[in-house]
Amino acid sequence: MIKLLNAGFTRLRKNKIFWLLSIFSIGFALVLINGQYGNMKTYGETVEMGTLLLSYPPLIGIVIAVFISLFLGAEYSDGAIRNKISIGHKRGNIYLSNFIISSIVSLFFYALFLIVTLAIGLLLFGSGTISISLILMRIFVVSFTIIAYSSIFTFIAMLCSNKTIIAITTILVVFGMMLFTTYCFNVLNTPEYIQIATLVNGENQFKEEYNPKYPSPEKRKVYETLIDIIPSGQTLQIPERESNLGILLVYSIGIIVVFTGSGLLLFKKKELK
Amino acid sequence: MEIILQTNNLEKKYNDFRALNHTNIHIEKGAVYGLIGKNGAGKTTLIRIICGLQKPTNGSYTIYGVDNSSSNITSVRKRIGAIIETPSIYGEMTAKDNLIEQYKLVGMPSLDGIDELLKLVGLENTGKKKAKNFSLGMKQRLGIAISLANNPDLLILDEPINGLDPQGIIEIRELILKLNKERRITILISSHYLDELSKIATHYGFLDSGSIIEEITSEELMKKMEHKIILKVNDTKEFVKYFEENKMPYEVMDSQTINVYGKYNLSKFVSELSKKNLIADDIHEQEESLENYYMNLIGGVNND
Repeated sequence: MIKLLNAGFTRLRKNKIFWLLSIFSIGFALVLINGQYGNMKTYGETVEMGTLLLSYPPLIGIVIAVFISLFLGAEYSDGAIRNKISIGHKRGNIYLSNFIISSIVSLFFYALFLIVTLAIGLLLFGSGTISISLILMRIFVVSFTIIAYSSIFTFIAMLCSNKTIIAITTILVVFGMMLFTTYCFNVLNTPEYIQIATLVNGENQFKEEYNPKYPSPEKRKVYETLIDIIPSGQTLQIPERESNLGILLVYSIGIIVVFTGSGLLLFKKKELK
Repeated sequence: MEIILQTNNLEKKYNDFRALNHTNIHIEKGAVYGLIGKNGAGKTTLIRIICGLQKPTNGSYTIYGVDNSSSNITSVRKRIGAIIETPSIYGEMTAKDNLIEQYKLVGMPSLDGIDELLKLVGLENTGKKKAKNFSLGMKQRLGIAISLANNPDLLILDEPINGLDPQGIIEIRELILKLNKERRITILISSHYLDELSKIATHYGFLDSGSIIEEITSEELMKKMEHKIILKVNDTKEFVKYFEENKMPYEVMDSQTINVYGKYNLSKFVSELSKKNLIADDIHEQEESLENYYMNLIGGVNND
């Protein structure tokens, strides 16, 4: 396993996509800070550091999907998986080492964003009003969300043998999750009452009526649970959430265990051509 | 001789298609074992199974005495270097970086041998050129260098000369011979370029429709393919006496057939026999290429 990790990190240093996405993470932090600073100067808006530090995670799924699909996709296209197995590495170790490298790199992208945002943001905006312990707790939880993302994309990349299919699938999955999260939020934000306009004696009269599309308590519970489970739902909720962060952590760990466990089982049985 | 790789009634089925059918091969230590078969005969499937990429449907195999069902099979694979179909190369890296990667992967304590390996395969001057820009021959040689990183005792090469130009074929052939003679590496090489294989193999396994139809050493094969005159006679005794007296290599195949090995002028040969009143019912010359031999072999099997 150590040999696999050592080789993986050696390859990473020479990997173009890794460096490009690292630059993107830094660039995103700089663009974000510049925009927030402009708003502060122009409109006098206050910038909350605790929220700013969590602005990257809603996007990071796309970054992770791109990295894993290209980095691990090359393992098949360049014949590296075949090579690793034929020289005596266990399939389980190959899968786990790729998952570990993907997770560390994904966290590294976020860490780059955090470092740049903290270094410049603190000077420009100050520390803000949110307690440090809450900020740290949110960052801790979002780190597991990032690892959950990595586990899903590693699962896809290790079980599809074609680099193009891996890239298309991971991108579709990440955008699918984002769209589904948006849909869930839309359902949950459906107003309970709607105003109906009727024309009485040539005049518009408004009256409030119960919205038939308003989700039932059971349905609300289902949608709330779904956005708690899906990583894209978590990344949108964490910056606003003060309580019940622990349940998000549990869901992320659940995703990691389910995807990595089933990925390991399936990869061990996979016929490689 | 020590058998280092052996398969025992290996079978591989893809739904109704039987890619391997009771395949048995035996590879001796120090051999260059040429696995011969046309496209689709099952060569790559057999190699994939030996290298652990696929599982056999039935049967087993042993590598250095370790059975494939043993948990030690992954450890014993550390003694193998392999190129399966295409070389495992990261196209975005240089030749040296690819070797560094492989050295880390196999856990070599230092990177000292890399320059020597690059020299061995003739890629010492490729500098910063990325592997994706290499010619096919260079890629194959880099693939071989990568597969040598763990100092293997057994090298498995699946169709290593496919698509190479004549110069590339010669380079790979010389490299394989060098590895076998100087480093004492046992080599399993699959190919459908029979004449090329005949220049390096010490043993052959003829594979057809997933079954090994014959395993033979190169000496035995050469003898079978040797230039010979086949005589059909009523009584072999007088002919044998003549061949003995004249120290001509011969073999009595059955009560009516004698093979005389070597190149002779056929008309002179017949007239010399006539002088001794030795009259054959039928005389004809025969010389086989490996290709003919293989075609006759699989033709025979298919006609049975």
